[in-house]
Amino acid sequence: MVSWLESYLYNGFLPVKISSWGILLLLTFSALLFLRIFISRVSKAREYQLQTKYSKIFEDQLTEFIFDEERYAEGSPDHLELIKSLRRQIKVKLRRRVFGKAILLFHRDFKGIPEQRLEKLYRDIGMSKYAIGDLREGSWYEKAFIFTELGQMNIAEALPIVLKYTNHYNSVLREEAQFAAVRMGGAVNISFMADLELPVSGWQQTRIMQELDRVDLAQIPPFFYLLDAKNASVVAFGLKLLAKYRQVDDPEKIMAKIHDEQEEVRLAALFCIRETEMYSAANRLIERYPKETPEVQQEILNTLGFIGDEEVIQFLEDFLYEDTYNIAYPATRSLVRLGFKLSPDSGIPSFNKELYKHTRYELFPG
Amino acid sequence: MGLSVLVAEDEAMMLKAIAFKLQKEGYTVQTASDGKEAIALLETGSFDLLVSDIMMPFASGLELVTAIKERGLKTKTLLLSALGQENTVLKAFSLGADDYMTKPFSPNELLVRIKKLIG
Repeated sequence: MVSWLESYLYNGFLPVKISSWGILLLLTFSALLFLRIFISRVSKAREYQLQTKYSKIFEDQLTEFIFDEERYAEGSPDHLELIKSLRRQIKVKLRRRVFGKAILLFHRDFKGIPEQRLEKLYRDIGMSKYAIGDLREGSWYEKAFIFTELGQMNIAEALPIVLKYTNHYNSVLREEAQFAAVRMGGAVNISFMADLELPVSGWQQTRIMQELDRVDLAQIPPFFYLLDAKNASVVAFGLKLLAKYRQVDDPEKIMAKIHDEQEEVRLAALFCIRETEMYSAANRLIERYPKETPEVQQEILNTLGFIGDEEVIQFLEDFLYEDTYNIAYPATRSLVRLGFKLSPDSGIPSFNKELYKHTRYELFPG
Repeated sequence: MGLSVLVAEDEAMMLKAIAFKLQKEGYTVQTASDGKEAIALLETGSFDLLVSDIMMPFASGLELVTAIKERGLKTKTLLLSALGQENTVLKAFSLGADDYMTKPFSPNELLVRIKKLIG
């Protein structure tokens, strides 16, 4: 039937003879594959077009809603019409996602009255219910986006669902859920961290800490319970929070952490001791010094400069003969910070003399 | 005709929103979506105020302030910056910027500051 093709291919460039049916099958498969790619491209392009179209529509509607307060006053005909129209629009998932992105952008950039009005609009049109519903299906990145949305729009009723994801194996989903939980519930809801099994990255700790800045100081609870967590990164985070909010009611509990198995925790404990100027810890740090890793040793020497006394100066003076920069530098710096003055006829090596001069200039340039 | 304001902002949504708010308050508004476009408009038109984002493609808000000063224009400047750009804000003032606001900001506060600058 197609012997001319078979013969042409064989004589032309194919090294082996392929049957006519094989060639037909190959051509059919290629055509189907091409069609599939074509349809996918067309549908993606169409989706992008629709996204652009609705993005513009929603941006215009939201701009008018925020800035034309009289026209869109609560319960006014235009306000009710807008709610009705948006409710209809967001029934379609694609439009719902576009609207979610648009409202988040406005909410992110404007504060004050617009922020509150946007949060109310989000609830009034039923976006929060859809978002909670969408959490039950969809891919992980859609869920991560919904967490951001629910957190930013302060949908507190979603908290129980969000908390279920705070220890999820997918790090993006987990971190977004943790962040949303803090955002929805403020500092009190940080208690979920005590039960976390997976590590909390430094970046995530910074994000959460920054989010806590939004919480009124009077509403900040004690964070000592985080020191009992089994997760080292949570304990370290707890120590940083104690330092930030100057919670030093139980100094023994903080000082005990300089003996923790995890270096991350010991470093955080030193940070806390330094930031809260816990003078009573000085002798314990000196005792601990010989047993420590090089990184923690450096941090101990550095911390002593903030909480030291005469006894500490005596301890640090021995390091004036140290030739390892990473040790000599923090020790000399702490000495200078504590007011130690090097005698001009001191017999310490020239390297250490220069280091002393440098740190003096560094700390007291005048 | 109202006082004229040039709004320079690379984020389309923000640009549209600020322009809408100012137009509603009776200002004559022109918009630029990047620094280059803003400089071109400054050269051809006369503006009482420039409201500009600091971080923009082609020319930053700081460069716009410099351009205004170099050309001896009387245009007042209000810059919008993201949080944590303290050094940039200090630099903006040293270059001669008249005011700045940190994002996110309250549109009503923006309006009050604009009124204070140009009435």
